Amino acid sequence: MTKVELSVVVGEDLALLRDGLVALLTRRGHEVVAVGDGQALVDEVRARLAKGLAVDVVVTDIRMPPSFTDEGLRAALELRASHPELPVLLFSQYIETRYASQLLAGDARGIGYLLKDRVADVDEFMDALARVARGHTVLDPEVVAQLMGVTSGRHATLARLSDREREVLELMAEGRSNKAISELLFISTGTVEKNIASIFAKLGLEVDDSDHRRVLAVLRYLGA
Amino acid sequence: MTHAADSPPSRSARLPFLTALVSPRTWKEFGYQWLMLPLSVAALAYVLLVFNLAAVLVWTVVGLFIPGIVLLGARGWGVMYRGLAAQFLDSRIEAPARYVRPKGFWRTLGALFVDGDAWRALLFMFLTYPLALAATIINTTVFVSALGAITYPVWRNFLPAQESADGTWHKGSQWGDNYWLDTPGRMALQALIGVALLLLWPWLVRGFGQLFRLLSTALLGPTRSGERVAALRATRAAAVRDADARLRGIERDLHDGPQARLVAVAMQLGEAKAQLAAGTDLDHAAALVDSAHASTKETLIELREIVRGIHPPALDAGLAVALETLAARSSVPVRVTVAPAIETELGAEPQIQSLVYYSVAELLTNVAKHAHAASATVAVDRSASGDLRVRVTDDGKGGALVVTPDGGGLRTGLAGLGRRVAAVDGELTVDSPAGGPTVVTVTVPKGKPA
Repeated sequence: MTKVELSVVVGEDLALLRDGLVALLTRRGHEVVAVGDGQALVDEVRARLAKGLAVDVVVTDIRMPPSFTDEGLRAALELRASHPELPVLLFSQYIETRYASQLLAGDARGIGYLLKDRVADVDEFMDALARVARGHTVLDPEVVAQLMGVTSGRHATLARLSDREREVLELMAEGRSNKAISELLFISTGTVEKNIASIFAKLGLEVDDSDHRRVLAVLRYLGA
Repeated sequence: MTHAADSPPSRSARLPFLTALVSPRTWKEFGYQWLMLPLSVAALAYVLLVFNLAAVLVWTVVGLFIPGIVLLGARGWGVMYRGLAAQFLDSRIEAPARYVRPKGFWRTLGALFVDGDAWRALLFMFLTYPLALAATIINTTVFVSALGAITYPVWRNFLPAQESADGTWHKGSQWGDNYWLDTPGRMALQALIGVALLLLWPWLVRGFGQLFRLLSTALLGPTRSGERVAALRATRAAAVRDADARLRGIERDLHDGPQARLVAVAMQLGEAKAQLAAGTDLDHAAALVDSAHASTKETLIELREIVRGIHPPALDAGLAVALETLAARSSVPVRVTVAPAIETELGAEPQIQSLVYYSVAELLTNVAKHAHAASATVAVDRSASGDLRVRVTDDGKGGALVVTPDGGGLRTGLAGLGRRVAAVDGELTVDSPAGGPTVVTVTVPKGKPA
């Protein structure tokens, strides 16, 4: 795990979680500013960027005041519209496929969507945060499962994938590298590559060297 | 609109028989009948149209939508007829319940043809044809005959002279054999009959008017069952809305309470685990575990509160026990009396029992929050008519109002409670003069299980 000190802006309305998150991040040497609702988040990030201060990643809850529906998501979309490169990690207690789709509809680089549960594994969470900050796409396995669930009904082509290929595709969609996939599935990297080639062939996608573009292509295909 | 016949009341009260002839009411009703005549011809054509269309299109099945919609159009005629009845007959008729289109193709098609209100309007349209015809013919004939009889002495002079069988010449009408209406006595008698007819005529007109009025009320107004269905539909919608609101409330409580706390606990324990594994900062790890432990206990308390909101465990021990528990938690001293008979009866009606429980819970919350009361009482018994009655009384400042949600303001809870009570045909009444005391009564009719 790389130790990078990040400048993080947190949007979370529940004080308990906000304070916990701030304590966690601060202890790891990150610089943290926390706010309690969507509009404050947008204002804070814009103010910091205007002053020339760094914002490496924005972490935001989705459901926040005043309407307790999707303020966080709207704030994220608004920020991404004005600053397309700004990494944003959505951090929610439940998964809405619609939100993921909206968020990934544009450029999916530097986008993350995780269940709050994931913070229980602190190191993994920190790793995910760092990856989003570097411009990767990180999706919760739950998000991927739901997207697959939604789309497999629509796309007969997905049904043609073997179980193994499906597993590989899910891990790819989570933003894992070939090496990580091989370790997680206890198969060789060569087998992983073969599976991926087969997936691309079945889905009619061109092979690309970049892990990252690969995820995007897959997600696009999934209708995200 | 007041009846013209009623004003001025003194004269018409004394001489209704004489004034009826010149009263606007009579002439309005006469005019109504004449208006109905051409309308009823058009209406009859419309009625026949429905049946003809249905007969032609029945083979196509889907085409039955057309007569179905035409049938529904009878409701539009009903609107016009109710307007006319209000204008000319001084008869205000409530509109029947609105047509509600069910979901689905076949159900919509079916509903078009079983819309009772449309069929009744159609029947009205059909029946007005003979009625309007009879009314106009009879009323007009009587009126004209009466005028003719009265003015006979004048106009008979313009008749040509006729020769009777006995060779005498006469000017006037002949009734039977050689009975000529040309003597002053006979003419006076006929004029008297004319006057009698003329005085009778307004009552004939009003009689037909009354027939139209009865027909309109019976066929264009709401039926008892229609009103019942509309009321049920409204209370059911309210019940669904309330249930939905309650579920949302529980979801909110869980999301912001235990779920968020558990995330925090998981975060703290995860961090503590990492610290312990690294073995660097054991004090910090201990602090984290401590905090997580405290959070867990708070989560348990929150969960208990939420569970109690979903179904109060105390209710399982009976209404009296549950209400005593409620009373004990209230910040205002509360005395609870539950008639023993009701306790056992309600055991068999859990829905009503929990309705009573939540009503009391909400009312006591209101008392604690708004009333500034020193004490309150809760009484559950049966009224003289056997209805279940729940009374919550407090000695606070009074002035409680039932405020609908869009009305804003004080104690919107009462409006919500009223809706929930209405869902079981119950009633919520508030008696709360400024300065108190406040008595809120919830009654649920006898034999009305939810």
